[in-house]
Amino acid sequence: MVMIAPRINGDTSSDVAGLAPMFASLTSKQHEVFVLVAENRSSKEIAGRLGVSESAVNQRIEAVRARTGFLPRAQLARAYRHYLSSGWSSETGRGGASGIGEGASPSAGIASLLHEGLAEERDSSVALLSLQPQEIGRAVPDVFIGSIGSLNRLAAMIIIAVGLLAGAMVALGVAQALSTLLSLSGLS
Amino acid sequence: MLEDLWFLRALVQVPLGALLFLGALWRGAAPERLLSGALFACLSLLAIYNRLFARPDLFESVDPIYLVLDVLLLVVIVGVALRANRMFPLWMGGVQIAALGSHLARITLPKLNPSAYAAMTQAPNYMHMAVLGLALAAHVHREKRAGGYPSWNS
Repeated sequence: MVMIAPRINGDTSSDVAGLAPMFASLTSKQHEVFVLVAENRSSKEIAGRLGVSESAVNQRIEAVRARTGFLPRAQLARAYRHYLSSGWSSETGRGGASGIGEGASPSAGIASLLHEGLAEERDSSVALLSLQPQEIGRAVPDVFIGSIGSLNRLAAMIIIAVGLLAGAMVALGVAQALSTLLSLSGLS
Repeated sequence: MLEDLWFLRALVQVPLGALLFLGALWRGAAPERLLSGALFACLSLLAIYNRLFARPDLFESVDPIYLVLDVLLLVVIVGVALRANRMFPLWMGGVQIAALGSHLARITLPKLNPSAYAAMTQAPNYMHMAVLGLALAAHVHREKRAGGYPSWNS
């Protein structure tokens, strides 16, 4: 529980530049939903508990996923659990029991989950929280991003083309040498 | 034997392209759909062209239709490659640049064997299909493993 706190509550702005500020900026309705998402509840269950439609629940979840570069729901749930446990939510007064609507139960399950020694979850969530939202869901290396990224992409295509042509020439050379050898030895 | 293979190639190329395009429409995202669609369109147009205007000396010189289609395909691939949140268009771009190199070789090397030129113009299509197939599989796998992710770099 305390492991993530120093990182999130660090002095520099870069320490808090991950998902925690994004979670802090969620609306109270989104917090309501995410407290239950963090308990690994299905959209249907959440809708039943909050007394809203399932599509409204999905809409709120998708809005948050869109802000994180479409992070998978399970990972968001983990990150939100750690966000709640980090102390960030109590500092900003958002999320957790404070953000949950009346009638919905405060997530007792969260505390138990956090105490269950989910070390690997904690590690992956620490990594997630340290990521900039726009970095999540990226399928290309950093070198292909940004202003010089396009130039690097063009360069990569040219290198691949040159490599292919060189490979083809080597293959042709080998084929020619082999056929010469075979004709010399009278095998063909 | 080689002639049989060449004939078989012509028979399977367009259906393979169509399968890839349908697969991309079904399970792929925008980059996969765009590139498989462009490739399928290109293969179909070439098949129609070959059917209507077949000539025996097709690969004796640079055919303007082949050249124009290859250039158009390169423009589409590079356009997608520069913006997509994917690596595979870069491979397709490299392959397509090499395909254009074959036309350049035909122009600059008069002694180039027509069969070699034919192979150089046709092989990239199969490489495109292999790359697209792998990319589609990787995309489906990634979506299953980690959920949706953006098609384009913002």
